[in-house]
Amino acid sequence: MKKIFIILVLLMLVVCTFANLVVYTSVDEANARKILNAFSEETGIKVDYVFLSSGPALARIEAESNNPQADVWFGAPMANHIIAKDKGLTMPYKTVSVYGVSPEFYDIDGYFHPIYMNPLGVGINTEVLKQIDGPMPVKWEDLLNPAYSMMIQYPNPQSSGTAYSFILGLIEVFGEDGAMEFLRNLAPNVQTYTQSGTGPSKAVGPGQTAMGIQFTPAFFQFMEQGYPIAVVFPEEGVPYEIACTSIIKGAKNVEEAKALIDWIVSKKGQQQIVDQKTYFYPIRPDVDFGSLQPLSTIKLLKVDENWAAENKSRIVEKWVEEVLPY
Amino acid sequence: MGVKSEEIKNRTKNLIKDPLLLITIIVIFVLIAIFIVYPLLKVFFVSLREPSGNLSFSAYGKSLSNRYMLQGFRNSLVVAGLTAFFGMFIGYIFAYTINRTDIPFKGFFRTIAIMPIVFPPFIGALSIIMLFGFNGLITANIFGIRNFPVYGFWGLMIAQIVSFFPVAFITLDGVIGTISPTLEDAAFNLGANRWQAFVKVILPMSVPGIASTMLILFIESLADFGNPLILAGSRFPILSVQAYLQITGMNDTRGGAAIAIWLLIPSLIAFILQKYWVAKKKYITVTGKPTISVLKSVSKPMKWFLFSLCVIFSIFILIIYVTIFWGAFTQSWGMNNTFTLNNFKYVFDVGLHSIIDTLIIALTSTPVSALLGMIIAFLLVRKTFPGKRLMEFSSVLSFAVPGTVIGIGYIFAFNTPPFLLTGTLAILVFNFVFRYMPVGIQSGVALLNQVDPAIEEAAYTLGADNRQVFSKITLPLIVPAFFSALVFAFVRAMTAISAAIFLVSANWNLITVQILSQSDSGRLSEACAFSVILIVMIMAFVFILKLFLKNKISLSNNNTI
Amino acid sequence: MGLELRNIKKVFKSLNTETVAVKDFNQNIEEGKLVTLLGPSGCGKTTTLRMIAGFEIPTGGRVFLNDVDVTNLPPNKRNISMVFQSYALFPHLSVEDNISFGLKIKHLNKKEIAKKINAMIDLVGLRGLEKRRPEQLSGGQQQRVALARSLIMEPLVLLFDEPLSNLDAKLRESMRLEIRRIQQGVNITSVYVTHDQVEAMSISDIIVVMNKGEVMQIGNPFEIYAKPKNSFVADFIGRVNFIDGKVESLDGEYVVLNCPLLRKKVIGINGDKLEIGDSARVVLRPESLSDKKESRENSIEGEISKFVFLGSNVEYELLIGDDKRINAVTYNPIERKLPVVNQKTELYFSKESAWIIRN
Repeated sequence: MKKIFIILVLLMLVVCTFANLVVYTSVDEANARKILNAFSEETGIKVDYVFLSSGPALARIEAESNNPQADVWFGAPMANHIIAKDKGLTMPYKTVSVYGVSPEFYDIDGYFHPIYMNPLGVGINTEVLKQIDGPMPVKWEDLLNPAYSMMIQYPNPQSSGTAYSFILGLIEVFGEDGAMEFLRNLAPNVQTYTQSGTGPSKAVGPGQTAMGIQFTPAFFQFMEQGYPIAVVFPEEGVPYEIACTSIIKGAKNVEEAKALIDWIVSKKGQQQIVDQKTYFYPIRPDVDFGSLQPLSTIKLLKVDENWAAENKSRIVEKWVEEVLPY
Repeated sequence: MGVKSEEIKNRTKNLIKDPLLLITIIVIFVLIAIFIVYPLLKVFFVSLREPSGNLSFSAYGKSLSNRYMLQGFRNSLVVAGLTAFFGMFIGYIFAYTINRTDIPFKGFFRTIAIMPIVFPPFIGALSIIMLFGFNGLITANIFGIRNFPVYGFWGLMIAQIVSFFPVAFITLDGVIGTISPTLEDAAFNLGANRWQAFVKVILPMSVPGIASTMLILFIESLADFGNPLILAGSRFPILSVQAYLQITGMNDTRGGAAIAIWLLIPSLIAFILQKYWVAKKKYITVTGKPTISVLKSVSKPMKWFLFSLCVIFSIFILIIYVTIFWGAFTQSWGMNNTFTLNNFKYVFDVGLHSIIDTLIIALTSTPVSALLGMIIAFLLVRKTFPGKRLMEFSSVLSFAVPGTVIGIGYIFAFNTPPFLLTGTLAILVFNFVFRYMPVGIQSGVALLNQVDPAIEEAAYTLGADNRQVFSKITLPLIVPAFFSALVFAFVRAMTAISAAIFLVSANWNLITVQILSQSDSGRLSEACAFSVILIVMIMAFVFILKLFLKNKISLSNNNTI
Repeated sequence: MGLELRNIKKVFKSLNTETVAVKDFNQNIEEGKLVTLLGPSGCGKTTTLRMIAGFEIPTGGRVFLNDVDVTNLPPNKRNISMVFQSYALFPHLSVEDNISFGLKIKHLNKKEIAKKINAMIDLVGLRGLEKRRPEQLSGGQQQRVALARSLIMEPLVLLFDEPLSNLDAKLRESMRLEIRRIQQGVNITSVYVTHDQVEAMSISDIIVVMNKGEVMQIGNPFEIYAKPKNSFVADFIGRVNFIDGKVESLDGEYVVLNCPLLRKKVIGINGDKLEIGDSARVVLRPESLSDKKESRENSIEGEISKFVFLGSNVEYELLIGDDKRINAVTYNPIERKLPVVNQKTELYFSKESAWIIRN
């Protein structure tokens, strides 16, 4: 009994005593590590980071708002950072590094800042495609081919921001009703709607489905690992996500946080995103893109983030009503 | 009434005269209040608070108002119910075959039947897809089936049964093992055939064990979210996943909490049934000397039939694990089978920190959790004190609550003074201690009910106080329960994800979070490698523990009087 | 000195039923005496014992040990040891460790412990079994370990909770003699619970007969047998015949009863301050009946309805009137011949053997 008591008391006394920059990263651990290590090397600022995918990260930042445990939220799509801004969870900082960055990539008030962008694409397991004898798609419309019956996965917009971006992109192409109709027609070809935005790649990689629709870095990652993957950007155009970063309101290491923002938006930081083989697209045009498929060959669809945020629950419910049951 | 109050006075006096007991009881109550009740109340409060600041139950109505959520509720109940039944059924077949026949390889079957308690989150479910998916090893390569509906009901059921039946096996193994074979002899003697002896003697005697096992499986399956997150898919909504998504995907903590509390209702009903209905039916009490009887419960053909069932199921489980190992040691899971150790090199590069953290956290929380569980079991079975029922109920409450809710509750509760714990090792340890303690309590209570209280009373009359009786007599007598509590707490601490994902910090991270993160970014083989390390560490732990406690276990298995 | 129970009461409450387990128990047990609590199961004897030990908390009343109130002391502080029905040996400890358990708790030094164990093992006759585990011992040996474990503590009071009920008849007999021998040898105050009257008779200084939570009679074995206070005690201890009647006249310490059943008067000892006109009954032990008149004042006539030959004695039954049966016994059947069924017989008994109590 006594021993337990002592243990418990000791545990109570274990309080965090670190002074490093604390980052919640919604960029996956391995890539976050590459980017943040590069930052530490250049600036000498040590970074401690926790991987939290965007949903849990936001939930946690909100729950911790009366006593923030992290300084920076690194990664997660812009929409989440807009929510954080609206909920008053982040603080503004206007960095001079944004010169040269296209204005739709950052917040005019300085609440959030871009890290990189990812186009959405169709990842295809070429071997499975051979097995089902299907042609290589080039357009969104091609996905309706009955040859792909039960062979496509995309995420559920209820749970995944990726899926919502996908639907928004289709709305840009087909209009709202057209997009819903397209998705309903696509339904017979859908094997499952995954809960997480990166779910489809996990089935495409090991050949358990033919195609997945999601943001593309994971597909490139699979490719690098030797999986027979091809990525198609349909010619009507694809939406993209901009992964952003914010300084959390009440951060304990504000100066270090600002240094990270300055660096990541700068040309140096952006070049690291390419050089570290993250397969993310930099948000500055003035860096060397290396082996990435040049952005000029991909048609990017601009999405009105405000409209997107305002209509989210309506669109998602429409999807639940009109697409999910089929 | 006057005399009655004199007894109460006496009782109170006695309690006060025994300060250690009193302090222990108070400390446990305080701990339960802080680490179980308080976080749950916080969540409940959040679910009631409207954005305007008013309190109302509106989130509850809203969360179940649409067809989709209702369907999720129904699916959750169906899956949990079927998991409970089939998990119990397979567990029973294993337990019965091992205890009542003289089949070879019993040790092997035992190991296999316990193995899936280490069902690594996400990767376990992914391996089910690898086996039953489009290019699934079993469906496509063996049976040539391409369209097995692995996403949804079928895939989920397979995963749930595999990952939960060990819990049933462990309980039922104990139950059937304690039914004396002489009872069957007696039945044969009275002219019963083997089937009648089974149906009229063995089965009724294992009914309490069966029922409580099923209810535990029901509760666990209802709260589980790792398997359905991957396997259920949106066409087959599951409420625990929806609660998680509501909080993390829709950013609606209030709605998520409301869904979770809806989910809590069937759990609590099952729990109360288990507690007050099943537990009333007395456990089998072991008396006298161990009885040795030649095993003749089943006929030869039946024996080999059961044997082959066990073999088939064991092979299936092995295949799942082989699949995970296959992923860990090849270049790209399912696509490029070149042998490589690079995945492990990567894991030790990137994840060494989290491996060490996980070990520290598990090794700290495990003994505390198991010991606390045994102490509470001791108090519940052997002591009378005011608030005993309350302690009994609240101490196991966290078991029935979905992890997401507990996780969120912990942040709400422990992010402000006086309990400022976020970001520390402590918050993870406390979470694991109190979340996985109920299993220790349950098995401690069950075993203690079988131990003649006179043994402890004898120790009292020989001058031992409560502490000495507990440490020198009770604990050695319930070593098997202590052992299973240790194993369970360790396994769950190593594989926990749903609550832990909210509690990990820069300083303290977990392997499971790594697995999630690696598989999310497409590094499936690395995630497999992490899983393999997880499995190996847990098996090593169990092995060492067994070695350590071997004498005591084998001893008290035979003669807990 | 010794153990004193003052107005001990115990009520068990469950939901809405109250069960009175022990009703107002008073007893002073002198040092070195062995007192037996005797009664059918459920009479409250074990509850009383457990209250002495401290496992049950009395609803009312106090327990004194050497004039110290121990009612609110936990079992381990009372210096009382107990031998359990199930022996309750610690299954994970060897014989030696079982016996030394209490001494180790007391932190006695090793030498002293070894010395005491040595003496105790001889006393209870366990030499050679010190290293065995409880499950490797026979029932009688387990019982000895349990006894040794308690005795070695040199407690003020030793409690026995039906210690012999798990043994076979022969072993039971020898063990109870041994318990008595050891108890008298170390002169330890003991309370012994049993439902076996023979065991109680053979072992006790004083017997407390209990029924339904109430004390029926307290006395030494002879008093309990020869002078039962009521029908329950008379019936519970040994075999007995009851013959009902009305008091007709008083004659010093004797009383004359008119018994309509016998169509006779019976004279016997006034066992309950009977007055003329009281309804009363004769308590008559079977062995008091004899077929020889000699100087016996009372007689019964009847027909022998059946007999059982038991070797050393013959038990037989006398039918009086239509349905009253009287048990009798004859010893030394080899010399005296067996009774003959259906034979009319007259049996005689003395006024000293007719104990008359209130009905």
